[in-house]
Amino acid sequence: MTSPGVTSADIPALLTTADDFQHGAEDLHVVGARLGGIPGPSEGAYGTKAASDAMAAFLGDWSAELRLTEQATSDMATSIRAVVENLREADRLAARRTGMHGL
Amino acid sequence: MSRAGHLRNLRDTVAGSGSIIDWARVADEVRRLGGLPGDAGALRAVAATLRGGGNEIDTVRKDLDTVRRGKLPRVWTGLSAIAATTAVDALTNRMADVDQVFRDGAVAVERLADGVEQAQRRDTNGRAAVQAGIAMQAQLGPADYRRIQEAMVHGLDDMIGAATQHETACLDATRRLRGIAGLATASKMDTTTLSPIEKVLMAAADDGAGSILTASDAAQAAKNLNGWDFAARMRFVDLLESCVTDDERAWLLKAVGAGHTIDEIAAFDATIRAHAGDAAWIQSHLRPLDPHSPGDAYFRGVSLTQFDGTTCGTMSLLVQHAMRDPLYALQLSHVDPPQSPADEQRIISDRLVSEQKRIHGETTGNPLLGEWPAWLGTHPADMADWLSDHSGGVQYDWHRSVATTADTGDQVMSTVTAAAAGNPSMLVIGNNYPDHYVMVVGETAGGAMVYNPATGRVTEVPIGDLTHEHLAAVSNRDSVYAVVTPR
Repeated sequence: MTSPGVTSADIPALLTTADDFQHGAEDLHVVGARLGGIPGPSEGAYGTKAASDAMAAFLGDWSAELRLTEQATSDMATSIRAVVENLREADRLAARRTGMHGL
Repeated sequence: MSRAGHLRNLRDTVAGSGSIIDWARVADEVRRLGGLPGDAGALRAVAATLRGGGNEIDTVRKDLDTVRRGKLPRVWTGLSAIAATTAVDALTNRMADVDQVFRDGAVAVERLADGVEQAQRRDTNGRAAVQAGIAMQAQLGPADYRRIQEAMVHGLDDMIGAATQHETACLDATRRLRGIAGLATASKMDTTTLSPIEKVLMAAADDGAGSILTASDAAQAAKNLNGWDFAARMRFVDLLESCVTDDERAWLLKAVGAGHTIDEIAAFDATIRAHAGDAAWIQSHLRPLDPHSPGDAYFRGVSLTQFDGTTCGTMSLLVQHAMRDPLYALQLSHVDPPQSPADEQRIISDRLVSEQKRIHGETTGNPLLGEWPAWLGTHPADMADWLSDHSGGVQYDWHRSVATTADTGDQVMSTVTAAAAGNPSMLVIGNNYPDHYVMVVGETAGGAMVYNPATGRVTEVPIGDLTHEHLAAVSNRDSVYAVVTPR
């Protein structure tokens, strides 16, 4: 699927955009890995079991949220590349038709 | 018993006894008690990592925000097509949320580090004063033993202050971190029916009175959706495709979370579709009360108050159900064909009364048949059963309050945590016996939001007040006798 007005002339810009999404996803992955390196909360560090449990919930839930955001960002790169492929395929078909007209 | 409570007892022993043997026993006890737990250095390192993570996410957000938006296509993400510009907005907004969350997390952990460190310093000084006091025995004659007593009492007072400060700091951090954890809704949608970007979009849907989906709604919606057959899921995807706004999509997903079928949800959408772009209409018809704003709660101009002395529990159940289930809220609030404002309010008011009667009938019964009598109001066990049957799959239990304030505080805290995640929970309160229900509906930076069906008012109560059973802001009762919360 694409949008009216988007043509093969837009392919370079679309590829740049796809790359931007892909880089964004990779950067989010690095941030997630760094947060994943935070030592598991313990009562000894957080003062009480309740505070330690709350920190564990916070880290668990938001690491998952970060992974989902990373996945969504990566999906956008994949989807835009699929649009580019569709545009290229449409161009190939048009060129073939033009060639057939020439026969 | 809490450490502060234990220390108070020791202080009373020293202050009330003239025996140096008792004082020496207390000094031994204090030595055995050890210091306050917590590692401020490790906590500050965690806070720095969180803050660093926030900064890095902000950089990614800024990079993505500069993406060329002039001519972006519609793209397939999962099962449906979405405008790439919409996705860019949703992702950059979500990254801003994540950035803020990590900064808020860093602040919570830093505050905990400061609180723990100050409390530990004060506790160390107090313990030293107690030991110095008892050591004075070697230099003083019996006539001067009062100085030992005074030194020990001062030391114990410092330790009590330190323990209270430590408890407060830990409680505050617990509340803040749990509150932030409760904002993670997109990842709670554990289903492949929705793509990651659709989850991000729906989690971000906000009608001006806060997020439409709570963490509980999101988790329950995914669970229910996974239980549907393929054809029903495809109908739901088509329905989402046809929606006018992301808010409309989020309300439909909330309805899935409430346990409705695809047919019921399609019928619901047919009613709200015409108003999907009218945030005020949607809010006034689907949100019975705002769990983040204190004040009198009116549903389409009708006060949310119990209609007689026995329906405080019933009215709480009604409001809880309407907060969770948009179809039920619409059934109460939507008058079709439209009438004059006064007539619509009368109709809605009548519906609220008849609903209270119906729910009261379902949750009470005939004492001759071993059922709980209606004139005594709702029993917490019946309330938990009713909630379990009307919360889209979330199961509730009731817990009798235990003797000590510390444990009651934990139980009360569990209602706040549950409410923050989207599961409003009940407190059974009273003076000499339990005689009233209030409902914890949410949590803000200022405290817990508590709805009182007798006044129809939502009040913001500092968490410390609530956990110590200081209920004056909400009601003229002074004790919590039971809580009704999710299992």
